[in-house]
Amino acid sequence: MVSMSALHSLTAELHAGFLTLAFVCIMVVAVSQVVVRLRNRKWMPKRFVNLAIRVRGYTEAAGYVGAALGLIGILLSAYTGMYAWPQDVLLDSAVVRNKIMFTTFSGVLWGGVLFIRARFGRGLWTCPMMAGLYTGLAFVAYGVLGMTGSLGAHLTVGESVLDPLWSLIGMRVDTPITLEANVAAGIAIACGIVFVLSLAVARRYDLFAVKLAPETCQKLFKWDEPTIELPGATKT
Amino acid sequence: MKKRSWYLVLGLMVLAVMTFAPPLKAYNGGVSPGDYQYGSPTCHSKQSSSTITMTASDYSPDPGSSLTVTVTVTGGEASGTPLGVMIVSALTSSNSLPSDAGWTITTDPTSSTQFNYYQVNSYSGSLTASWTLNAPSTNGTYKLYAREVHGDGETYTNRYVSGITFTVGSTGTPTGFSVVISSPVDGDTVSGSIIVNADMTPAANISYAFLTIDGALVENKTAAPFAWSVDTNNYADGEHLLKVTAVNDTGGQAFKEITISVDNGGESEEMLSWMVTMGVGSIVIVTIIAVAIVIVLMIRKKLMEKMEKKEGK
Repeated sequence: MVSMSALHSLTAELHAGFLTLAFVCIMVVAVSQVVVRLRNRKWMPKRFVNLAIRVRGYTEAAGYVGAALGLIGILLSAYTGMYAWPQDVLLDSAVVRNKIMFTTFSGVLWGGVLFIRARFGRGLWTCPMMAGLYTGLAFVAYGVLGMTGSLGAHLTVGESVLDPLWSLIGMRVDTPITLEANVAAGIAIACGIVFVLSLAVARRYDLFAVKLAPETCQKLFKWDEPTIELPGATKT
Repeated sequence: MKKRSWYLVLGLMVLAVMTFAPPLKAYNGGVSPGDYQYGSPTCHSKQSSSTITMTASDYSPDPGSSLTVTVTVTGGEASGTPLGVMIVSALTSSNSLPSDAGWTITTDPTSSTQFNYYQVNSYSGSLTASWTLNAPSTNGTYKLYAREVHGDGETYTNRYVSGITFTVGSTGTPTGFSVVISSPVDGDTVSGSIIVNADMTPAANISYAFLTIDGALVENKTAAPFAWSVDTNNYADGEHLLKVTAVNDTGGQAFKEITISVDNGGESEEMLSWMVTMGVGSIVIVTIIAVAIVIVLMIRKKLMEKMEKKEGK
């Protein structure tokens, strides 16, 4: 019988691998978009532009799939992690609690990345601000995932290469992050109000029906939609 | 038949009654409450199938301090007939009363007398009997055993032959034999499940070691590692006395006591606070993402409206 510890190691490696792939792909698409945007500049080599157009076609889809599989991996990893050690012993450690918390935050952030991609499709790249939000969110989500990995290193070897970052933001990894009940309730209520207001605004201005596509955003921003350039395919 | 023969038959009948009366009494009515040596009542000799166990409220009492010894009998052949239980200090037919070893029974299971023998007239499958005793006034190692007797047409008996060992006071520790509790540390505040680790010096030739909390036995271990898992949720918040006693193969004993403070209330509160923080953090992230998407779409909408106006002009 396979032990839960082994399964946890497997799922942890899987989600870290898929999300790293997703992060790299999204960043490659973002850089490619900038290259394509600057294609008419004299100093920009044509070959480089062509390569960017071809690469973004592949990496855009790979980033989406990688993020989806990575998110599934996070859920599996959380499940196997809960059973890898006795829960009462597991939750006695402040480092483990912080790790679970950061994993949850990372999962929610990657959920946001997936939501944007699923809701707006590849057309999101035709709207620079949405593309910026998508890329920025992926960047933050991957950063939080890295912090989670750093906490894992603290559990296994007692230190991490990200330790300077922890001291920079003034956080002790062995101290549980907790909010006072009143503060937590206040933040939750405020967030609830802001969330409902944002939905009301979206409804008022009919933002739920928005489709990001070349005929809308590109017209405004002169931003190319990424297309997959398969080798040997006829160029249009 | 001659008159003399009638007298002979009558005499034999009286003799028979006198001979068989004690066992019949033991079966039908038991024996009177009182103090009995290990071998008494003598008529009980057949091994019963019952299970007999013994526990104590404190295995390492101070000299003269009070403790409770509980004997439990389950099963056996008796049913609706008398069953008696006694505690003794030795498995010998004499000098086996607890008082012979220095124990003083302050109350027996009746709560009104101080006998070492207790009996129920109608046993119904299980019996729990508790004695309150004062420990001997002299430091040392002491043992108490239990014996039960019952009928059901036969004269059955059973006994708790391994007995329970008491370490009264701190003497008897051989030179150089010591116990160290490596975790938790004296004065620690603990919560949830903890492991009590003890090291014996010398580590070899340890017959057994046992952990008590507030005098109540947690577990007796006969082999290393001498580590006990304790769920502090089973104990009230506050201070508790942990004691590890080790006995080596020569009968020498050593023990170590520490005081720990259990605080599971704070632990639960901290756990709840952690979960709330995690939930609120997730809500904040979702809200920020939602607001950011709405802002982006709003800006885009305004810019497009502006552009359409320009084109219209």
